Amino acid sequence: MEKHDELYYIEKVKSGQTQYFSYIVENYKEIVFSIALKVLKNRDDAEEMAQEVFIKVYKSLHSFRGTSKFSTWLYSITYNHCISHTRKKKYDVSSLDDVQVTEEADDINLDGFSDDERREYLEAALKKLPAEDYTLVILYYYKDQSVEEVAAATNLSESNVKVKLHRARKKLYTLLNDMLSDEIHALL
Amino acid sequence: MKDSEKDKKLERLIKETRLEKPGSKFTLNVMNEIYAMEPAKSVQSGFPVLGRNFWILVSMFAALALILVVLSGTGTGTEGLFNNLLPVDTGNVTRGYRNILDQLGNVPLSIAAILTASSILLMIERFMAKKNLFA
Repeated sequence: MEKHDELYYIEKVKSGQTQYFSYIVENYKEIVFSIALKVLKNRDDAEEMAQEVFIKVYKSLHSFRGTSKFSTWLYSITYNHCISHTRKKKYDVSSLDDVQVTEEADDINLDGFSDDERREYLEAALKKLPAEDYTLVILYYYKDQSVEEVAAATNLSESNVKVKLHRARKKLYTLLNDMLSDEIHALL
Repeated sequence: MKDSEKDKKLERLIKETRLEKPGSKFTLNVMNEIYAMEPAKSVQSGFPVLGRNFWILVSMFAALALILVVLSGTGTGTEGLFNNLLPVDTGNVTRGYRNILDQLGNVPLSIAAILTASSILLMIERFMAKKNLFA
């Protein structure tokens, strides 16, 4: 099947060819679902929330003018829908907030591990991050959004995004170091 | 290690991870919800099955048929009127059209069937393309 730029599909949907919206859902379902799952911690509820996000995107598509990247615009809807939900419902009062983030925890060394082990450790650490930190980390590192774009998606200032990303990194390093030291202790 | 290097290292590690996947029917469920939500809108805003060009072609054929009927003067009951309005000799033109019609009448049935089938296939192809059934 011929591949097109996502703006092609957006224009098709806008012109009434609703079926093209499925390309957008396919392209973004994992990131939206991951964020929703982070917030709700239940797959069924997360699927429902992710669906709500896509319905919202569909309903607002006519207001997308293309002045910003479509991904940034979609992440903005996702962030507002999911993160505002956590604030309203007081979800995710993460135990990590109680974890002392040490200054020493500013790097990780996973060189001695296999690819699978490295991935498992990192996925486990990401799972323990609070929803907002997780979202910022995923948008910035995984989805290659710039600080400016993350700021636009989250409605935070750029300096605030930088501070939050710095803290999220520290939390991630702390979690990984804790997990690795637990592993070492278990071996000894 | 510099912060930028650590950043690159973390980015590389995070890119190795996999995002959570929703159920296999997720996209289908979203699309069904959208279709259920706005059936009227999707019908209204959909493209017409028969495009503008089709109707232009039909109009041209209709106009041509009308001209033929008027010029041949059969079945209209307006022969006298047109003879009065158009005092030019239309006999040659009429004979020409009759000649064409006679020639068409002599076209073998198989060719007519091929032309009809081609037209139907073209219409079906156009219909499928509009409905994106080949996508």
